[in-house]
Amino acid sequence: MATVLVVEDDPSLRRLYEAEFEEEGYRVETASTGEEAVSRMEEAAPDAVVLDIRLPGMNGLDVLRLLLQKHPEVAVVLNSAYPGYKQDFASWSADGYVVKSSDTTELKAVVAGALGARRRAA
Amino acid sequence: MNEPRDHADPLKDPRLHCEAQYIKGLEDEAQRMFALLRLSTFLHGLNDLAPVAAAVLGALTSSDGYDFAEAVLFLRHEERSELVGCEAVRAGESEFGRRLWEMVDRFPESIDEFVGLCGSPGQRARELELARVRWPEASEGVTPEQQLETWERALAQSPAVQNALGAGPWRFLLLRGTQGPIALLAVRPHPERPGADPGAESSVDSELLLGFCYHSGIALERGLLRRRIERRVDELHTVQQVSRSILTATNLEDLLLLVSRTAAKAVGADWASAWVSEGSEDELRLLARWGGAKVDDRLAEELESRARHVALSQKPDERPAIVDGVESVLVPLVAFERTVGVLGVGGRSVDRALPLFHRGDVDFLSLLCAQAAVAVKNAQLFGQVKETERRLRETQNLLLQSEKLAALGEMSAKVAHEIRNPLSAVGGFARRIQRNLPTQDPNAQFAELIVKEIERLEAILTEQLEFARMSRPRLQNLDPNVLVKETLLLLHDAAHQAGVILLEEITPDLPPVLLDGDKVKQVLLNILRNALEAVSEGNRILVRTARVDGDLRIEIANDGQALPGDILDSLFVPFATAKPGGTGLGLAVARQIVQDHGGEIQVRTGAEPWSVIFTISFPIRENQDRRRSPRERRATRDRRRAA
Repeated sequence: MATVLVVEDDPSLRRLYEAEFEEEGYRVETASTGEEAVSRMEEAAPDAVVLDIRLPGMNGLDVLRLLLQKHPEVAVVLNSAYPGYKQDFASWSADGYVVKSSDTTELKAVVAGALGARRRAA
Repeated sequence: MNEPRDHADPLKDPRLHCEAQYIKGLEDEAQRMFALLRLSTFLHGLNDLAPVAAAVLGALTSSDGYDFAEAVLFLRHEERSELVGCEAVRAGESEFGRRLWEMVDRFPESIDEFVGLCGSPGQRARELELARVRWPEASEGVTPEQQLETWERALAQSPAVQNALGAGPWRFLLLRGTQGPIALLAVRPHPERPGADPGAESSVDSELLLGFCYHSGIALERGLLRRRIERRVDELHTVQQVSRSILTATNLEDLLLLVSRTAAKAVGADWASAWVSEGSEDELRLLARWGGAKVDDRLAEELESRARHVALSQKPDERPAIVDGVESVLVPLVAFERTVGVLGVGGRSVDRALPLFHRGDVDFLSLLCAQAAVAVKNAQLFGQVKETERRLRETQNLLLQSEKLAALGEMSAKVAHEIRNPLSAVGGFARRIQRNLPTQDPNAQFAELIVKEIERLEAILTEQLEFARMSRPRLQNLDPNVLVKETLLLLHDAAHQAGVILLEEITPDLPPVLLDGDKVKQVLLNILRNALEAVSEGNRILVRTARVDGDLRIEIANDGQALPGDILDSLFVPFATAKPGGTGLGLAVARQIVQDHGGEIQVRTGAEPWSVIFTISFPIRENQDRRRSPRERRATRDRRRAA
């Protein structure tokens, strides 16, 4: 059973993603800030991180950079309200970029795809 | 001075009688000389020209005086070099002629009373105004008698003078002032009286008349001098008055009209024209014209060419020019050593042989023009200040618009973000509820409604963020021709449906240009859609690419209806839409994108057959480094290293 860490400051969205990913059969961990996510990486041991970009304090792109250095084995899918960050070079290093939507189909598909790709590569 | 002789002969003695006659003769002479003395004193007590002239003519025509039937005074008009009919009196005609001697006796108390009697010049004076002849210049070595003869001849040859004088015989008397001849008196003797024959006059009579002429000349000269000074003061007063108004006038046309009118009225011209220099000093534009008479094309042309000459030389015409009987004088307007314009006055002289203007007029006009020139300069500067102010305001408006646009972008980005999170949550849970409800549950429909409405809201937010310019141009080396072709393909169907012909004029082998393909396509689409909506069936839209200097240029032209200037000006202003259903953002966004690329977008009225042309320019070489600021480039480099 794969573990997904949802990093999201909006509590309702956090609840939604938790429910949606659990329904898909994932174990779901959550963090509401970038700092919390970084500190909980060892303990939560996620296979994939769903990462919001606009966060209080450390932003998603900074978290992404740290994860790439320290946990290169973890798949990271960026999830933002802005389509604009898609064009930021920093975001190109992530495994996926999904614009927030009430329809979580795309997000779930991208996470599954990223995990699948990792597994195949491993 | 045929004093009544109240001495009856005391004796019949012929010897005594003879002696008494002699004494009486002497007394008589003494009385006449005394009368001349008193008259002279009286004349010198008068200051103004009109009373002096009236007294002179009165003395000549009164039966107690020189007893002529009629006397006419011609005055020398020095500035115009002419002899002008001034006053005329017939014996017994005037009140002051009858009362002259009584007033002479009461000198000096009677002066004011006499001046009051003179009043305004009568009908004949106006007729006489027309009776003028050129004043022949006195040449060296000519005796006064010869001079008098020349002028007599000139008067005799002038029909206007003959008409004013009527039947003769006339005798002429020359009046001299301290500076030379100043007037001519024409006198007509009673036919039956002794004065009719100057040859039969006694030497005493001749002497007395000569003495009278001498004093009259001096008195008239003083009157003339006073009149000239008064006129000069009047002119100065006019200049002063006008200068007060012209220095406060800020509208150039009003100002020049005022100057023209004043100039024409002051010198008795029929019309006046004012040109201003534009660019170089002799590049003149007619800006004001006062006066009714129409100037024909030939004269207008001649005036212009002379005006250019005057503008360059900065000197007034030395003498008035006469073309087809129309006299004109041109004077430059010079301020701070630069010609700012030219003033011209002109008109038709009443007597073709005599000039309308004289040197004094040119002097006066020069004085007026010196004042006017400063005022013109002021008005021009004021105009420039106004123009600068207008441009500043425009720039300020533009700035305000881009500020507004930027603020609008930021606002929508913020709002979109703040709304998108809760909206995604609401929509996501609604989907879950919908999924989990049995289809026959009535609430399933409502859940579906919530999901659909939230999808709609999310679509609006996405659109908002497109306008919000959150993303900078993502530059790639692209073939601009390919971009144009792809965009035209997108519009092919819409154009076909509207019956509009899409044309392309592609310059092959354009160099690749650093562009954000999607955004430039959006620019082209926005302009093309705009054009499609503006034209009608059968119109054409042309897209042209070219390389001009260091720029890539894309032109989009259409042959629909031309746009008025104010609409052209406001095309790029956000929300200034004229079409129903438009957001007013399309062209504003297009301009913003082009500016983000370091380019320029312009719209203008085109040459036939195109009515509106949009021109978009992108720099070809200089934009290589425009993709990011140095700081951003460093940040990116760091991130890559970190990765």
